Amino acid sequence: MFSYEIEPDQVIRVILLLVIGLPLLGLLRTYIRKFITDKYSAHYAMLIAKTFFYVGFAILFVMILHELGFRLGPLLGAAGILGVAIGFASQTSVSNIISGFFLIGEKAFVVGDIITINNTTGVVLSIDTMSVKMRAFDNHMVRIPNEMMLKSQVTNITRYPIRRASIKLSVAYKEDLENVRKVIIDVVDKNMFALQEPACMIHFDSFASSSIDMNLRAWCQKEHFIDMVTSLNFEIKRRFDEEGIEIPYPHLSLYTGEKTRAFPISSGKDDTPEMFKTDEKKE
Amino acid sequence: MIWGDYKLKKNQELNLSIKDVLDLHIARKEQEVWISFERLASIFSDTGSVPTVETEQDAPDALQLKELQGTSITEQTGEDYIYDLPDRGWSRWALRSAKPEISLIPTFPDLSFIVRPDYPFRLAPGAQAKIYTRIPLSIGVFDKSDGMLKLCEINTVEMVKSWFGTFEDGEVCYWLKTTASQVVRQEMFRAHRCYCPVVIKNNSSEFLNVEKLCLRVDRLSVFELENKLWSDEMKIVHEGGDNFSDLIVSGKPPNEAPKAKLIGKPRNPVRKGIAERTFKLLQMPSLKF
Repeated sequence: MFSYEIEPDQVIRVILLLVIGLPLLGLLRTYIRKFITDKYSAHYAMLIAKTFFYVGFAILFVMILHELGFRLGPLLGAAGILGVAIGFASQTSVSNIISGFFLIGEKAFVVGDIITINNTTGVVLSIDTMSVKMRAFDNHMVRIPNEMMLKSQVTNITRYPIRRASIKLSVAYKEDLENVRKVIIDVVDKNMFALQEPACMIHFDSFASSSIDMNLRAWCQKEHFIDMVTSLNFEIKRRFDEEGIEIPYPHLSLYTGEKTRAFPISSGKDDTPEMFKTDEKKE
Repeated sequence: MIWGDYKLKKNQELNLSIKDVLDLHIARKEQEVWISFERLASIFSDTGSVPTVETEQDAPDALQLKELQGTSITEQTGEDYIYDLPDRGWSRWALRSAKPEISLIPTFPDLSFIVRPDYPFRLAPGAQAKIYTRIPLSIGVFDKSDGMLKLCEINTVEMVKSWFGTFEDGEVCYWLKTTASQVVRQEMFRAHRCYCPVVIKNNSSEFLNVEKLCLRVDRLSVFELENKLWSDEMKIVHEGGDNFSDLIVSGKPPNEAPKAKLIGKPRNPVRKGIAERTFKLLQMPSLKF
């Protein structure tokens, strides 16, 4: 018959291990995380601190078992068999864990990067055992399983220090394109967020149905992207107005029947075509 | 000259001006110092609302330096005076010192400059050239009574930035067009600009194309002589190959103004043995896509 007795000194030693070991692990993890964040990066800090904590916890657990008199050999053997069984039962979890290792090893992104995955953009908060946690810009916390991260296309927006913005511009056919080009380049030159190099480029995009479409490509530091795009758009509109450059837009005419004239787009003189004038108007 | 130390009495406002460039206002309320500035962009921009690319072509001729800067002190009384100050976007500084003494020191801006000559030139193997550029300075505002506690830095002019490096790695710099004149032109001295002599020596066996160069101004000091500002001489020695160049900063007044007095120390006082990228251009293999 199985009998097991625990001596009081065993209990004291286990309590001491728990009372001293756990807070010590926590404190060391915090210190390591802070130290490595200051010296290197938040990403490495998170990885090293987590590794330290889990290894330390495992050692503490083994020490407690040892204090309680368990023989670790048979236990490890049983744990191996149990592991296989659990592995079969939880393939998704195991897949996420293994994917997590690949994500960390591949370093496609690190903690603090801004990434886009499946139309969700946010800041990477942590790369955990099972999932990547992101803070979206509307302040939602998004959890994405590691397996999905590995299978999906991930765009790292902040990997490189500079970014290019593409701004689509349309001008009327009557405009002098060389003048338009000069105005746009002048606006970019004076923008405090746009970089002088790499130089901006203006591409002639297409002859559209009612406009000539162009594409302005300007560069900025990654942290100034929104500021640059916003200020460029404001300033281009202002300068186009000043220079009398027309930005065409679709006009919509509404008719209530063939007996009525169209709602006028321009006011002032009566430029309604003869065929649209009512009988009353004709007289 | 606006540079120097200013003891501010209680409820006193100090108005400093670099003509057509910058108005600086410093006011005191008890231990609090209020600072504001206005950049007078009108001569840099036709609209006055946006900055433009810094060039050296910013000023009419024949203006006297003394006319380009001024100082005035406005003294007001009454406890509420400070709250009636014009709305200028003040920044407030609560200081330790009971009687703060404000020190204004000329300093080079916090980033390096990419200096682009109007007309690039090629330097023959073994040849040496000396060019002059005029760098716009920053105003360092310190509390002298508290061990030169730094309060803020104000660039005298708004400057645009550029990138020096590759698409993956590099550094942000200010962008400056220069005539890269080989002579000192007395009419080009300005109150907010520092004349920088730069010696370029080509030790490589090929022509060196000086289309633009990265001027690391954090190593330069500011010297003053007869209201004119000078930096120490920077020597760039191009050895070819990997695009790294040796930088040597003299740390003393330039030969053009040997009696000039040191009024602004360098941010990074390293003088010799520094190899930095100076001539490397941006690699643009993917720019067309």
